[in-house]
Amino acid sequence: MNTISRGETAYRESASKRKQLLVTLVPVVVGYYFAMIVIVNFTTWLDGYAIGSVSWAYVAVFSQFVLAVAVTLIYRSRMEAIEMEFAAACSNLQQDSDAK
Amino acid sequence: MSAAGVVVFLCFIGATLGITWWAGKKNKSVDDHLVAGGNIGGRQNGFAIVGDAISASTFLGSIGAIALVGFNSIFLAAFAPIAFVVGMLLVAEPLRNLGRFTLADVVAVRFPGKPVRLAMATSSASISLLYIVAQYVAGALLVNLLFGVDYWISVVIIAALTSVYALVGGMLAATWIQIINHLLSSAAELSDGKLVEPTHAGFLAGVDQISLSMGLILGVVGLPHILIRFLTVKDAKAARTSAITCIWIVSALLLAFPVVAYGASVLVGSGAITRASAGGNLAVPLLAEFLGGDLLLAFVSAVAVSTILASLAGMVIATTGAVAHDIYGQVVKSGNISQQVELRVARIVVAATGAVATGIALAARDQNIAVIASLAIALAASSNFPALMATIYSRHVTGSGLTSGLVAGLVSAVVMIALSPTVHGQDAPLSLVNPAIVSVPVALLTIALVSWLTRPTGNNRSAAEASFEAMRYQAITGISPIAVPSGLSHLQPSRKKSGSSDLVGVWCDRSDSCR
Repeated sequence: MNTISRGETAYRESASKRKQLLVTLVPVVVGYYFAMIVIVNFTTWLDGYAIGSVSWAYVAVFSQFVLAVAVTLIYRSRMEAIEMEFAAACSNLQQDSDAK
Repeated sequence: MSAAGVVVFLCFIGATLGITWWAGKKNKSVDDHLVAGGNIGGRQNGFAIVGDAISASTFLGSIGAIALVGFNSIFLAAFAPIAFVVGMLLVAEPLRNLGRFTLADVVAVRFPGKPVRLAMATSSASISLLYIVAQYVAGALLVNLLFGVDYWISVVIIAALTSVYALVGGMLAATWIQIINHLLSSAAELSDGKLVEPTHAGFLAGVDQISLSMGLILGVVGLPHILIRFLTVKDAKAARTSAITCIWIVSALLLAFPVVAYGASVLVGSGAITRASAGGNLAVPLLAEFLGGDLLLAFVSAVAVSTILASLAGMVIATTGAVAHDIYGQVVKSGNISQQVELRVARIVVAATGAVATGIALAARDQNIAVIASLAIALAASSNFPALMATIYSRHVTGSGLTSGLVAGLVSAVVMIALSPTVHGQDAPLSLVNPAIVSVPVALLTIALVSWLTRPTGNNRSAAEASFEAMRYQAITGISPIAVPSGLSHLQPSRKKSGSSDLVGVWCDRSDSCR
């Protein structure tokens, strides 16, 4: 495989991994948020009290903030891994190109 | 307002004018004026986005609504971290890699024609102008209420301060004012109170809640003054850091909102809150007065006014970019315009925006602020958001499809708000308060339908495919494929960095291929 094809393969792999990450995370975040609104508005599942005067609905809403922070941590670490793999592939290609 | 209040307020104004003067000395080009030369750090930018996002309506309105209405109003604030997560995942990095000054620049990478740029710029300028008017009216009413200054004088003071921030200090001043505003807002939050159960107001109210949340989330991801903040950092990695910083701070900040709200409800009482402001907007200042007397009231009031000023500076710059750079520079002058002339036009537009918004705000004194603000955010969700998503992620979209979708989104949102209870009260022809649940699908379907009807064939199809691939490549790597015609082996780093994870965006030289 020549340098350009290998370069394109590395780019395509990187793009595919990024897409996979987004396709996983976006529905989780958006789905969780809207599921919460539907449950709060159309059911009584979260009406009871969890601890003292704190209702389950509040626990559920606060869990969104935890989810948001967790997603940022997952996204950052996964993106850094994807970028490092791409950088390593590009670096190898550059070395091969320089050697020629 | 006591003498202490006036002193605290004047101290804040003095500090922000000092920042503006310092930033003004560094403000020498269009780059500096519109995107702070791309030199804002990722974390700094994250703080500034929080300053932009936690507007007066969030700070005062959400807490007041929770204090009066109860649990369900928490979604007025709880959407923010989710909106920024969606923004981080879908737009922050592509926006930084594709854009230069404005949202229309992003779209123009794939669709360089004037109609698309004009539609995107008009949409962005309209949204920002509406938001500016809403903030002028809200700010003037607040100054009028707190300091006893006449409404028209209040409007003029706010317009003058905002124009000075944007005119002299540009994006750099706006950034630091937003950072300081955010730090003050955090300090102004208090704690005490009890938490209660959600309420069930029926099927239609539930659907409206979903529509409202959808509009708020997608609206934030379409608001020009929020999105252009991602253009002020040096690369995609810094844009990601900005979004992550913002999400963490907003999440921490919003945890305190219901606690403060129920503190106000229990300590001040719903009756006293309603007597001061029917919508509950003065719950926080009243709680501050109850807990800390005049001095704490002065501090919270100064923060409330400063919140408005901080958000306004960013909005004026977003409007300036859309009018001076997109409409005048790229559409009227077809890109044949020097940096000096564009900077001069940008400054004229700042003054003109202040004058136009002042005029509208003076006439709109008795208008419901919620109408103006909801219109702005609904327009952002129904036009800019679908247009950006289609540009960045849809292979089959065409320029005509995009322009039609922008117009359809704008028109459907305006028509639905015009027929909604926000304008007509209980006798409204439409029962939905927020149009997003209808107008966003209308915009997306119009883009899909018109793109299918105008789909390219033959060589044009190949060119459209190549254009999409080139845009995706730039969105992901930050490198314009025009400057790199034959594969990755030809790329040369423009700035050396030690960490290999810095690759994406690092190779992009802002001064040429990527800008």
